[in-house]
Amino acid sequence: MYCTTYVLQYYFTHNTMIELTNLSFGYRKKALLFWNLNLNLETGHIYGLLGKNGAGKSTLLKNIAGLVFPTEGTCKVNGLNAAKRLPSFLQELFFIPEEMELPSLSANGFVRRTSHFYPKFDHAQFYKVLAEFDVSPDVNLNQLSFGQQKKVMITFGLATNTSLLIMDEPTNGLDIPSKVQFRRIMASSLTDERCMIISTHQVRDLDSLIDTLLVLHRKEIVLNKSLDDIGDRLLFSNSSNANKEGILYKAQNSIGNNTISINNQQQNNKVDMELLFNAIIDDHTAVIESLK
Amino acid sequence: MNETFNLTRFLNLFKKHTAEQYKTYLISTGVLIGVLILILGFISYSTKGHMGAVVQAAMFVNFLFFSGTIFTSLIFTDLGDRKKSISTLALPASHFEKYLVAWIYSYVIFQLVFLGCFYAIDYLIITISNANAQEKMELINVFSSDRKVWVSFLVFAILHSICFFGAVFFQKLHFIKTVFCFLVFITVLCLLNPVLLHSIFQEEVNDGIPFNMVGLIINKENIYIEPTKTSYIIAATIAILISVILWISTYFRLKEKEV
Repeated sequence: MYCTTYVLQYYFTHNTMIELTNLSFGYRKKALLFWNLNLNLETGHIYGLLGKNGAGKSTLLKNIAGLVFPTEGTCKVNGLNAAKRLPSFLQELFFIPEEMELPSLSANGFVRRTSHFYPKFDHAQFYKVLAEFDVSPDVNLNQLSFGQQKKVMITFGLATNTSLLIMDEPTNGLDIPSKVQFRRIMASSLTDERCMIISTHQVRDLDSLIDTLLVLHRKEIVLNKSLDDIGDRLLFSNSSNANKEGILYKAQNSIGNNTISINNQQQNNKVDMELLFNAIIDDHTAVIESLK
Repeated sequence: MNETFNLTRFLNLFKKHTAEQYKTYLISTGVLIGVLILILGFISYSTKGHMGAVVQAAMFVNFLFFSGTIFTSLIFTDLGDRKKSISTLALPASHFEKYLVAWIYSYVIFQLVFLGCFYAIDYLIITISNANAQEKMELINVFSSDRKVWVSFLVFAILHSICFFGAVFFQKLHFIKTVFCFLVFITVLCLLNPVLLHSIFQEEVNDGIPFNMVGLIINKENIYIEPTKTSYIIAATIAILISVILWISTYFRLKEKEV
């Protein structure tokens, strides 16, 4: 009975939002960045997209946002073909790019001119978060530093309350206190109707923020698992606490070895995303296999 | 929800574009006014105030074409700038609304502003030069049928449609690349036209400039065939059709635009 209720509750609150079906993409036909990609992403999650430089993280996000078109296959968001970029699709999507150049307006002016394109825009939320980031809404955006401009766009993106929020390297340009603020604000903005995708190559910036990890490697999504699931299956520890018979990956550090081993005892442990990411890009297939 | 055109959404987009670009447009208008004062003033000064209708017409046409094509080529600059292209394409408005804002600014508003600036400066220069002159100069009427200056509006429509397409088609250096392609096209047309005329008339071709008279050498005699009035109507109709086709093509190119 409990199980059925849980399943129903799960399906009511976690709907598939993004569907990539047999998606292939390359800027040139002979050099594909992704090949035959299949991926479903649901609402109610903050996804962390990891990959090496040049793996195609930004390009994958652009495919999802309809900013580039797949060579083959389809990308649907809320059932709409992303490549058509219809207004009904775009008003449920906000994309914060890695690099940006904002218009010569104050944050107030920008909100006044842009917010009406987003039906669920929350003005109170915008000014509250902007105050938390300590950015004045009256200063011309062009006169703000890159980090402050990024804070304005992150704040605007959150206040749009679009069902899909995409952030490409959002922590680039943010100082350390701002990164902490960013994680806190992001975590508090997630709702059951919303899906957030954050791409980064700075794995530590996603600590205590994301709930599901996506890893893009060698033209494929090699991992799409919740951190809880990963933690249940794998044990991240130093070598003395590892499951010695089930060690899958070992990396040396200054005081010993960090290991990934099979979590037979269902021990509670925190996923070391950096270690896991290194294991995957070093092609330790045993790690991925154990998660399937 | 109407996915192609919604008046409120369009007006919001128009207001947003104006708020974000008005400083650039005001500076550009200032530059246009400055250059017009400089050139028209210099001509009036060097001709001792005798700036006749022909000179005024020539200035009007040249400035219209030159400033209009540059302005149009830059209207979609944001799409070629990787720091701005994502926010432009991801803004929740339809492609048609984004297209229409750019078209209205580069074609309708530009021509209105240009006409206003040109007449204001021309009137000022003519008034000053007439102040102590025996022979009074008249302000040109660009809509009059006397000198056919109005034809320049038709030619501008073609040039606008070419530059408008180039503005979306090219990622960077829109104006230079569009002009380069246009010159290549005109050169090829000028080279092919005599060949085409020869195959039609089966005679030696003396003069074969496109959209002009045809000069043939028949039995060592030069014979020129002037275009008829109907030919001009056909040419004008084709020009309008080409403009419309290029404007429509620009819309579809915008729909396919990637970052």
